[in-house]
Amino acid sequence: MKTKTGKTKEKDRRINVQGLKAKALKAKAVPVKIRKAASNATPAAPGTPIMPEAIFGTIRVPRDREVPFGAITPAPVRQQDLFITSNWRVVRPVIDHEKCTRCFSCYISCPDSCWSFNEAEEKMEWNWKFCKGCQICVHECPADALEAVPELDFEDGVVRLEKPF
Amino acid sequence: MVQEKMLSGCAAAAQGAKFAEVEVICSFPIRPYTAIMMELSKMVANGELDAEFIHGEGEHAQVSVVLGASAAGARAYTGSSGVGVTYAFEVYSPAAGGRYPFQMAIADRTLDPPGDFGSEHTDAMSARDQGWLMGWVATPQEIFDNTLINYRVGEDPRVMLPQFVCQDGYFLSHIPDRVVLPEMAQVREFLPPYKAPHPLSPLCPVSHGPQIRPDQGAPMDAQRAATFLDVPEVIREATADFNRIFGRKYDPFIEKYRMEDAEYAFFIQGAHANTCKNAIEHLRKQGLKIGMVRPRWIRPWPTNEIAYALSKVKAVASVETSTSYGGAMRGGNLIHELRASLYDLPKRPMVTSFMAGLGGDVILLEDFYYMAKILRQMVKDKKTHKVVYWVGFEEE
Repeated sequence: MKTKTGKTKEKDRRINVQGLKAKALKAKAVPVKIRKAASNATPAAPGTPIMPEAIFGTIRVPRDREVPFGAITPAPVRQQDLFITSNWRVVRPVIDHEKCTRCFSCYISCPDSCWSFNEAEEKMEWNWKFCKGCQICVHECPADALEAVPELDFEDGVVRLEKPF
Repeated sequence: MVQEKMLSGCAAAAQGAKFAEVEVICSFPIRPYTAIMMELSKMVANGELDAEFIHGEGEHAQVSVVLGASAAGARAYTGSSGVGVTYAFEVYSPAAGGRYPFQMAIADRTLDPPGDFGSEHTDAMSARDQGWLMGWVATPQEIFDNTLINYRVGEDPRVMLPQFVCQDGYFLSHIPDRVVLPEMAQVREFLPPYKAPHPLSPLCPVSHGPQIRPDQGAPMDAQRAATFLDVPEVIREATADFNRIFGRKYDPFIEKYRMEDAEYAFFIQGAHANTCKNAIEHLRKQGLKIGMVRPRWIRPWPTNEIAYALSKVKAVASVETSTSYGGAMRGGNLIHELRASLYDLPKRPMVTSFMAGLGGDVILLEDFYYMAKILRQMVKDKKTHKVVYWVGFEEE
């Protein structure tokens, strides 16, 4: 993509793949760690007695609520447990395993890949962490094995504000 | 070898990027900043600078390209002006949230009302709350220096934020002045190579910019805000190092001019400060003890330093070079934060604002005299008659 003109050497024009490779090799395989929240107010400079920077107070993010630095996370992962996205679901699909014919319609129709087949138990499995309750699977199921049940009916329902997860 | 050259603001910014040894540059033409990219493309073509020079298909693409480059671990550089700055707006927040310390040079241009091309700070000022570091310069020398200082501060592991390095279009970007170019060794001592903490690499795969939950948004914002509490210390360190290595005398946050015994003060950002200094000389000859405070950083806002510098004056004129239509003072942007900074002082000075230098208008010496006259009248009457004056459009 370089836009060099004139008599530059051909070698210089190309993206330096070897260099990039060497750089990548040098980059240490550092596991992504959750970085500590930055440490608060700076001390006031000498001779500034009027409004010390302490006026900004301190910001403390509890350890269990810290977000990884820049939201950068390890990859590839089968499922990103750091960022569960289902906490605004209003209804969830409940399966009747007796009626289910294992036709995989739910598996095919789910936009978030929340249905999978448990081969050991030979039944469909639902992923509560990423299902948004869109009910496409409920509508698509030819065996009428799925039912949309309000989250409020469940002990662990995500719309229960007192216990979101 | 230390060289002295006559360089315009744009040429000085390009030299700054060259000395910072940027690795990826993305361009898209819009005047007046575009002269920076003209200079840089020449440098890349001549083999003076070993960087990837990419043409974006627009400003949104420009900032996206350098964001990607920065995510991969490169020191990246881009820039824009006026409506170009606003066209790239969407990418500003993710760039700061994802902590990519690339740099964007902005040479101010009026936003279209429609189709003005003169210098006005509203374009960049609109983006001031996107989590970037930001500041204005007053001379080509300072734009060269600030390009290096901003990379140093932005790439500090305690900071890791992108930077807007702003200069007035035309007044600064197209008027040459003497610029001292340092030795490469000095720059390398000041600015170590950029090391991304988690670069995109096939050998150590990571996800950048994933979806986070709403309940993770607040702690992430708090963590970013906490970072800004640490930035002033990093700026102090970087400026002290810069002054030591390059032999300059920058105050880290604000430039003070004739403030030792000042009773009145102008508060102004950018290159109009040069005219302001001349006006101050004339006004002082007539016996008015007046000085000037010019913030070098807008984000983080130097609250404490401004309050301290203006704690002894009687009245301050905030010279607004950007607009905030319908804002608290119905004028510009600076006065809001200036007044807020002075609120906790035991004895607050009177503060008013002057709309000047808009749409590429020149702020004349007479305009500064007019502002000084109003300040004196305010102090005499012990009353802030108005919080905003539109210079040239006021009834006498």
